[in-house]
Amino acid sequence: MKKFGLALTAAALLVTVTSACSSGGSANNSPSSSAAGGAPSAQTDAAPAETVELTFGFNGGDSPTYDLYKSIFKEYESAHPNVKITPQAIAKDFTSTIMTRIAGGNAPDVFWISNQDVPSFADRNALLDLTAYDGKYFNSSDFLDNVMAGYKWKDHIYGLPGDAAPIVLFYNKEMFDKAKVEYPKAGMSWDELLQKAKALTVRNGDQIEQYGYAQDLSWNFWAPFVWQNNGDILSSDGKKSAIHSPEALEAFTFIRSLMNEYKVAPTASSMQTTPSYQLFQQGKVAMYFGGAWVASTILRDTNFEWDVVAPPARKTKATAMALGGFAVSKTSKHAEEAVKFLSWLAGKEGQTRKFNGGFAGLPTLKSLINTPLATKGFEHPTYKNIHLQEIVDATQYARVAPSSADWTQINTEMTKLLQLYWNGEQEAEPALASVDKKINEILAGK
Amino acid sequence: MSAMTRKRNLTGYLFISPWLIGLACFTLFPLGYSFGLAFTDWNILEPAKFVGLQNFDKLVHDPNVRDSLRVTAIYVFCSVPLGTVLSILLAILLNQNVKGMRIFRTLFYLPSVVSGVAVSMMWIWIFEGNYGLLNTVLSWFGVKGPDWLADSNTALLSIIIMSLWGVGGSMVIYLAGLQGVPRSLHEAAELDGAGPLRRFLHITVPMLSPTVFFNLIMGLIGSFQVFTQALVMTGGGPGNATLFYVLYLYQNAFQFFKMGYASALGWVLFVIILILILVLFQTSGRWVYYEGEAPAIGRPKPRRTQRTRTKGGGSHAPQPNIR
Repeated sequence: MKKFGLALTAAALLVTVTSACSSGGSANNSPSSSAAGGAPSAQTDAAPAETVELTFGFNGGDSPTYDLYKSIFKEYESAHPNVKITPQAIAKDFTSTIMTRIAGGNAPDVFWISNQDVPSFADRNALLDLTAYDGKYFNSSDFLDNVMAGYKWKDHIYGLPGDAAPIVLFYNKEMFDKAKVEYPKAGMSWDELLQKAKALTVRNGDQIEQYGYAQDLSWNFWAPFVWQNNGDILSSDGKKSAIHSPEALEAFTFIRSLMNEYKVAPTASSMQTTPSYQLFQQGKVAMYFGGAWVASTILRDTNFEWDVVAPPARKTKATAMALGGFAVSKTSKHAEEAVKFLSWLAGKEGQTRKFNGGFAGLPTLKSLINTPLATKGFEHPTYKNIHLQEIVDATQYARVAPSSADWTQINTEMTKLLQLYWNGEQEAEPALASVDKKINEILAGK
Repeated sequence: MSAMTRKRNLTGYLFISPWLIGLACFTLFPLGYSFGLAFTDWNILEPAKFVGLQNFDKLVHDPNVRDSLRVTAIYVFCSVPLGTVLSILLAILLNQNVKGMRIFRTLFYLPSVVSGVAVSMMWIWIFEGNYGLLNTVLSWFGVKGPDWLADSNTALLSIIIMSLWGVGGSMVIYLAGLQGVPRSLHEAAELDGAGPLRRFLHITVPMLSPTVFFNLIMGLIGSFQVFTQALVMTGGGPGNATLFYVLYLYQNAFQFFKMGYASALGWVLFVIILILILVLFQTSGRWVYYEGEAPAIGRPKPRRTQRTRTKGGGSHAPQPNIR
């Protein structure tokens, strides 16, 4: 009987390990704040108020970007002697770490946040509502409207966007020259895209040696086509699915036809091992529809010359974009100082310093987006003729992730179900019908 | 005397207190906590709301739970028997008297040292549709392999195949079990004219049955909780083809932040595993043979006598003075 009991305990232990993490998760609070506890130097500056210590949660580990942020913080500190900023790098599981730390009452005062997480955080009452500070420390109308939308939830402001990066079309100039095909233009039609992709695909028997076109299949790479066709993922109020529409159907049919019918783009299964950006970087793809951020990362060292152009268009111009921004934790003890700092960091002062420092992204302020500073981070060390202005143009009409507190779950389920479509097991109509049903179930809280 | 016993007991408890405290803080408390959470709606940030049995009601009607139970059941009932047979066969092979056997044993054990994400990344490449190792080998025989992980018909099969990678762990235990089979029994049977197959079936297998039993229990618990592979390789897709139960639990807890629902899922899995193990224990008397015990039918009897004997020994024997 003893053995029996042991096995039972073992079973119980193993099963509940996952659930146990829920309460133990907040244990990794970094004690780094202790180092900054006493800052006696501030007193000598004849600062009126006592020293306020603000913690900043940075998404990532040690990196040039982290160093850049730290140097910006130094400048804020020297301008505001009563404030001390303590950065904390959170390299792993940023979203869940921040969430557990908020739950434990130990969140950074100000932290980085992706626009995709704003609705879910705001809906859970985790973020400080900044609406009351609009006009006091910052002006929401200074930001590009489409970008600002990413940090609003139910018409309230819960954060400020710090940088943006849209999805654009990169192309390998040498391949176009070799095939004597005209370079792609901003807003070309889907058909032109297909024709170019066909002309640039090189086959050797059954093997495809060079793809004309490539894209990845996360939502932000297919959504632009749906939007260009006047379709959408969720209804404008975010309460229902809108994906089961003729417009979306057309968009999905077009994207898959490039892979499975015309065979000018790599298929879903080959992307599991080699994502499209890698194929483009390796010089195996002529056109790549991807995030602007690759311009400053993997496309820094390619052995071919490339250029970039705003995405194709159909009924309207549209693309997706990813945003980085900042929010203040609801539990912050220094809300006023935190909002002040956040406004400076996301405002003109902070953004100018950030993009001057070479940050790879676009500014989100109307006053900066049309200055040379806007594309500084994307500049290539050797190729000087890249039309970076195209990225700026795309940003002006780019859209953010649908605003829903359940977006993570919707995205997870959607991605899973759509795999059946991308791999050819299901046709577009039933696939979208099942996605539609699932989204509505999630939104109804079932 | 009684004061001394009490003191001695106290000393004993003090000695095991580090473990007791650890158990209480890191196991029993979270366990009880998660049980309580199973009846709440908790999104981590706001206080948990008591919702009674609502989570369980939702769970029963959740198509993802249904799919994940089916996927997990298929996985368990394929990978556990397959793994058991394969590891016993390997253990027998590695129990032979061949030169350099230590090297072979190391080689076969080696894969189970590497595990988790690294192995999953490697298998993504093995299963790749066009250039993957598996399909390349198949193409030598003129077979065009499927898109293993991208096809909902083969995705689960792929993960079952992959599970055999870790067979080395239980193989080592079987090897130890095999070496515990007394040579004398084999020699006696050989004298009586029993062939190798007969000796295997009537000596090795019964003598190995406690090891099989142990591995079966551990394997069952382990494979019910599989999720790294699916998380890294497929994310549960295509469709719900590889949505393992614990993957769905993990997603609910740490991606969708539905802790109450995730706790309910955890406790349901606990009950399922509990029932299966109870069944296994109930039937074990019929096929698990412990050395030094009478075979199945007379089993409870010698056990009882054994227990009374140890009990008696404890109370009547003179207290040995340790100090």
